[in-house]
Amino acid sequence: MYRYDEFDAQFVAQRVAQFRDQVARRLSGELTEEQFKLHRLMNGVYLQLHAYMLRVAIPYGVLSSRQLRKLAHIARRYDKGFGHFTTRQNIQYNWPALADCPDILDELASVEMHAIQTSGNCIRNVTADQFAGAAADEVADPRPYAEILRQWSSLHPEYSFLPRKFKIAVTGAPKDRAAIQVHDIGYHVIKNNRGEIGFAVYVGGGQGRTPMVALKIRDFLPEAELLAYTDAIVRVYNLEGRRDNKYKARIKILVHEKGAEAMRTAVEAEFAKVRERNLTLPDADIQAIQSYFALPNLPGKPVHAEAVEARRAKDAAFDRFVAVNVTPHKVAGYGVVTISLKPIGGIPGDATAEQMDLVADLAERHSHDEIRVSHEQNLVLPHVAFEDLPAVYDALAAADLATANAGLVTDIIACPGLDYCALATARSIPVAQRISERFGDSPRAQDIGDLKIKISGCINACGHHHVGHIGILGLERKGEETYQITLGGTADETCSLGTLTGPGFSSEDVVDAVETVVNTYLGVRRDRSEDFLSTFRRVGMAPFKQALYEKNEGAGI
Amino acid sequence: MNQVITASRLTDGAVVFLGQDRTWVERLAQAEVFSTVDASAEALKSAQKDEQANVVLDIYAIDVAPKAGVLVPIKLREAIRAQGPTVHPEHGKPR
Repeated sequence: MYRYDEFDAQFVAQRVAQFRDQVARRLSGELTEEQFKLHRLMNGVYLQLHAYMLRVAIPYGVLSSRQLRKLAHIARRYDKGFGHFTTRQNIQYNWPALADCPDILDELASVEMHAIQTSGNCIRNVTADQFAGAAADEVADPRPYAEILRQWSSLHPEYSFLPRKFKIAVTGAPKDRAAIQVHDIGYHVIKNNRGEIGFAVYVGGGQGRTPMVALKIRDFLPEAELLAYTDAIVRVYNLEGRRDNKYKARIKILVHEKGAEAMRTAVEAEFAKVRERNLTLPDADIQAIQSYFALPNLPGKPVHAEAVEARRAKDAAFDRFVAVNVTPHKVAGYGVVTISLKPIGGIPGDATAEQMDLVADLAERHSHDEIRVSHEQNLVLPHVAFEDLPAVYDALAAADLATANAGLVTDIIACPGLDYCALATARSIPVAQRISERFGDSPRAQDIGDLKIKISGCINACGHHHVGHIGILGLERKGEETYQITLGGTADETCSLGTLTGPGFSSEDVVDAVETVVNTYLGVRRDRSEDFLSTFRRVGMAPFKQALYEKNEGAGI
Repeated sequence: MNQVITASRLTDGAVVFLGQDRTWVERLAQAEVFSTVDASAEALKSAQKDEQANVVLDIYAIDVAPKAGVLVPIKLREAIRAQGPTVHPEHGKPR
């Protein structure tokens, strides 16, 4: 993985020293909250309902064991013993004291991490496919491009005060696991018919109060022009994006008001100018970054490991774990293991310090020192030999980390919601917990198959509800929590936004409503191979609406 | 009408309430309750000095009402601030 060079180390160290001074001046009263707020946000420090919250960037979701151990240490020493992995592949600490934040940032810097640009109107942490560099279906590893974008966008003087925040995602596989079409820019790494690497470019996607699917403005951008083209897009946005209205300030509004064609024309015109500024990437530089992400030495192994097959035959729980949580690797005899942070009835995305330490140990022993964080709030061991699966599974099971539910009904995304977040209008986590308990680890949950439930506690949509197969949005109405349900959203390569079922449901009724939706699906699907999304796209909203509202008059509010 | 004055403590962001001796306390049960709009507004105004003195930030008044014999905030958001995350009772505050 990427290692800091002298420049990276210096700028992070300088930034920590600067923030230490700002915190000291705030605590001494030299800075007012109004003066300080911008500085703390630029270093990832928010003030939430119960305490400060520190958001730490995990670039494109990649961690080494050393880094994950450091995150565990921070949770233990400065927080309440746990951290929360987010839908942007970051980690949030819910309870740091302000005075401790500079020390935490120093600790992070010691393992080449920071919290810079995890807030504010700048280019945020670049996210990527959590299976990058390992997935069997990958055209090219997206991480080197995400790293190039990270270096270019870090403290970029022109782009530190954009009209609004700006999020870039990169995927290198036809199966989009990085939700690129709901990002400000989505890059899809592809090969053209000459076998050259480049990108399909999507612009203007996003969720929040005005959800929009990105428009494709380039079918093929040559690899070397990644920065020049990104620069052109962000420059057009910086000039033309709306600064007069916070709610219309994201690039999605500009792109959709302007239209794809006009946006393309503006970006291409700027691109022509940018190219003269020499942002074209030299081949040697691309290769230098790629060398940090080289596939580890994985000697070929038999596809069928005898010990694994024998264990699968006699241990149903292990068999299910392998079937559900292990994804094909590009090297035969290896698998990509998803570690679910969604135990039945648990808090989505939370991990204790002990669990983080354990995953770090397992990565060191069985996954070439690599861990990934997914935007679906799980962890991943990307390079596990099949023959090691029993040992990995046993260790995970002992730490309540072996829930075999990756991609299933209980693998729920949920934002922190009103339990923590100052912006939230309703709770998300308890709804996720109750849904999880309702379906549990049952054969029924397995039978339901792929089903993505995503829950947000306000219209800002951190819980990605717009792109949930079943999306749940928590709102406050007359002092009570109420939950709207949308169906048919997806963030994958067939990206679409969910459609509202109708009136919302009370906190008491929302889990029944979700179960009604699931039962309706089970009743109308052709067979087990027709998943929820395919079924919804075939049959439409009508049967779900009928089941939710007509059969049970008065259930909705 | 019953109101108490709440804020976040500067050093750690903890939820605090204006207590009976006009110091900031962590437990709602120890907060001073104002039963008129005027008394609440007056307390809010005088508490602002602690924001200027960098003791607390984001000071505001919240409505409270008796429930099972104790005063609790009317709004869920404030009830959660007063008690801690509903999903982690162990990190909540004693009443």
